Amino acid sequence: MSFFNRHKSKKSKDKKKKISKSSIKQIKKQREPIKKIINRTKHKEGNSSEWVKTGIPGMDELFEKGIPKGISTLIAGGAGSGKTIMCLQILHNAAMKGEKGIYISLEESEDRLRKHMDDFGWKAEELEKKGLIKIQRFKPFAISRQVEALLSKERGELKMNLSQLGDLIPKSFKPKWVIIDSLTALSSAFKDDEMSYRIYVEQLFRYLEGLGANSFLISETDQIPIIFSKTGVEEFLADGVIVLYNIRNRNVRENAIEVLKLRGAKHEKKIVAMQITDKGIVVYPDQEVYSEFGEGK
Amino acid sequence: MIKLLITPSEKASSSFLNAVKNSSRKNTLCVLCSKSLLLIETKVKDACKGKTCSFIDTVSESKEQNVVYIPPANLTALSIAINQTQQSFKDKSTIIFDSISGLAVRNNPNTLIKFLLFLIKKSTDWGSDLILILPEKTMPEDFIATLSSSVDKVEKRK
Repeated sequence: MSFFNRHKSKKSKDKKKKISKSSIKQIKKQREPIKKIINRTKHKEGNSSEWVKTGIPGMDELFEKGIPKGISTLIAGGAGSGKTIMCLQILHNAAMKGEKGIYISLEESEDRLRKHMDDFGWKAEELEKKGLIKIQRFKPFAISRQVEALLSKERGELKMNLSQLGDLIPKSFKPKWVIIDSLTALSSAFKDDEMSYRIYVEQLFRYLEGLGANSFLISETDQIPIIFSKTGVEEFLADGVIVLYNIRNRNVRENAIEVLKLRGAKHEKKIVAMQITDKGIVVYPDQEVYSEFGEGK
Repeated sequence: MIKLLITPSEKASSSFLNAVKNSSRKNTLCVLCSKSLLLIETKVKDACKGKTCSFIDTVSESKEQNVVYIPPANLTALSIAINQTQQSFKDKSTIIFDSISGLAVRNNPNTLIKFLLFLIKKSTDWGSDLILILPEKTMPEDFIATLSSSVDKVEKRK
């Protein structure tokens, strides 16, 4: 039984666990302003003929063939669900195959991220010296100020182009893998102007599509989310959404993973167990999760 | 063979030790849910003579090499640990739970039955023997009925 069905069946038993009217209203309100973007967005059609693997033990078994090459995937989850570790691990695994990747951080410092990698034995500095990975931090407020200035110059028209903002990725570096951590930090910087944020995010997705890299964009959510991004536009623009759960069961927490959508690819449609070990994330594709999803946040 | 062994509460411990001693397989995985290994170490080591015994202790942590501690509320982690131990054995094994009702303290009966049914299926796939010891009158009747219908044999000890 899927989480949603499980949630549905629990509804009748426990009024407290219902999706409240205010949540539905919030989702509707969230979706309203993105209709324009939805209407003019064209997603890649058909099935990909090329697939990539994350290299995370057990995770690739959740996909029939792999992740379609060159798509953008949203990694959504609450605090402690393993989003950053998963993305660093993907970057490391790609680097071990000689594929270049960049980690664009809008929150944590480069040094902290390097330390995270070192904690799992992924030797960040060594990979950086070899030119296989790049960790780069941007200040989200600097981006938001630039975007708002550009948009006010264009009198609010949707004419902004990401190339006007300078490159997020150095021209000399051609990554096959791009991580953006996180869209939530970025959206916080646009706190008074959600429309500018939506325009920027749309351009960001187009930019990533143009790069042809395999992109993973992190989105911070509730522990058991009903919406997977701040404005809703992110989960629509992304070709894939992977949700990481950190569920509380009495006095312990369990990690779990779900591939919510992956355009053009077949994938498992169940929530399975995941563990954060001292060697990184391990996914157990056959292991059901016993914690009750309605129980803890 | 998947067996549910229902025993008087006071005989649960001796039933467990007998099950370990009499298991026909060399590899034995003991899942401790009511008494920690520290409390029964000498007796259990005696029962394990001539066997390769591994332990999952859900009661307390231990520094011993062949013991893994899993919090009793984390049935997913327990299931993963059983799977991993099973894979580390080269031959087929026997998995013995000292008292499944020990897990009911931290988990509701529905979740526990889900876990046990999954384990029964897995044990069948692995070709392992599974012995579930249940002290009598510690679980609801419908729990026992569901579990009884899923095992190969129900044995009641007097």
